[in-house]
Amino acid sequence: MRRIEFDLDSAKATAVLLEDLAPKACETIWNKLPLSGMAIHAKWAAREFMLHLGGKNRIILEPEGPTKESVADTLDSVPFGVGSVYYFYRQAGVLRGVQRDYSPEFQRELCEFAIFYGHSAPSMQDPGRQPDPTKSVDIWFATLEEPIPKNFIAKADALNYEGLKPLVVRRM
Amino acid sequence: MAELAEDDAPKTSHNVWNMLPLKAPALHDIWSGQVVFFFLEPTRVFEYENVSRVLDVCPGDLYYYYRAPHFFRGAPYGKAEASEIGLVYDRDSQPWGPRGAKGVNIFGQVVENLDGFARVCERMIHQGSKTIAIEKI
Repeated sequence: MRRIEFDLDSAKATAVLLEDLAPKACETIWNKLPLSGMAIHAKWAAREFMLHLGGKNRIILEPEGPTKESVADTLDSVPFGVGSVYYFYRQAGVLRGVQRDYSPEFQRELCEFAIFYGHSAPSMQDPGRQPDPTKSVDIWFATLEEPIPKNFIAKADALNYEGLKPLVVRRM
Repeated sequence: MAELAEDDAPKTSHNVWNMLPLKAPALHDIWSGQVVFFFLEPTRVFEYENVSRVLDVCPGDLYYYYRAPHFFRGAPYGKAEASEIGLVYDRDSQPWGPRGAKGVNIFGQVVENLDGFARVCERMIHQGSKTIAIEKI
């Protein structure tokens, strides 16, 4: 069982890779680590932050594993729950126009890690992540270990109050 | 610059007008898209007036949202009565919260320099909270 660490401005949380559900994604991501950049808070999905993956950090993956649609009837296995960690990719054009609040590289096409550190929006009203397998890829590849450290949650909340903070994702 | 919707939401417009000038720490919304908002001080909270509460908003809308006491069970959002004023600065937005879509009273509309205001709102994603000041003109 491989584990990874999220180091958000010195507040740390660990996660278990879901190698049984998404083996190819886990292998590719594991081989890319460590990855670092500035964490940015979500504006649609509630208590979630992202690490945009650009330049040498860019990762392009094929769809794999469960989706929120495929486990919709499984109450004990709901993606986008607290602690879920996602790889997400969207082609240009999924969102209309550009996301001016993102750096130029990510304003139309985007790949990122999405870390759900608290409640997510009840039905994920995120227009950038509407299911369209031809234009986007959502892979649930890790789960934060519980309890999620309180200082990590506080630091993630502070992204909303204080702005971007450095994030490092590394192997354990 | 914004105009109050005194015909559509007279009580809310009147109450907000009488609070001005207002200065408060504004946050970027994390549920609703391209929205910034600030909480009113507890002494200034008032209940919804009996006009349409809308779920769909447009860029430039100013809205009032009221949350009754015990709406949440407690942590992390608290049990206290609360209200907020929100400003929708771009499309792909809908007021949401932990319990789903929020019906809001639209009490005004930005009529000048929404683009310039939106650029500052976008920077809040990177820079965090900023002070918002609203005054009569």
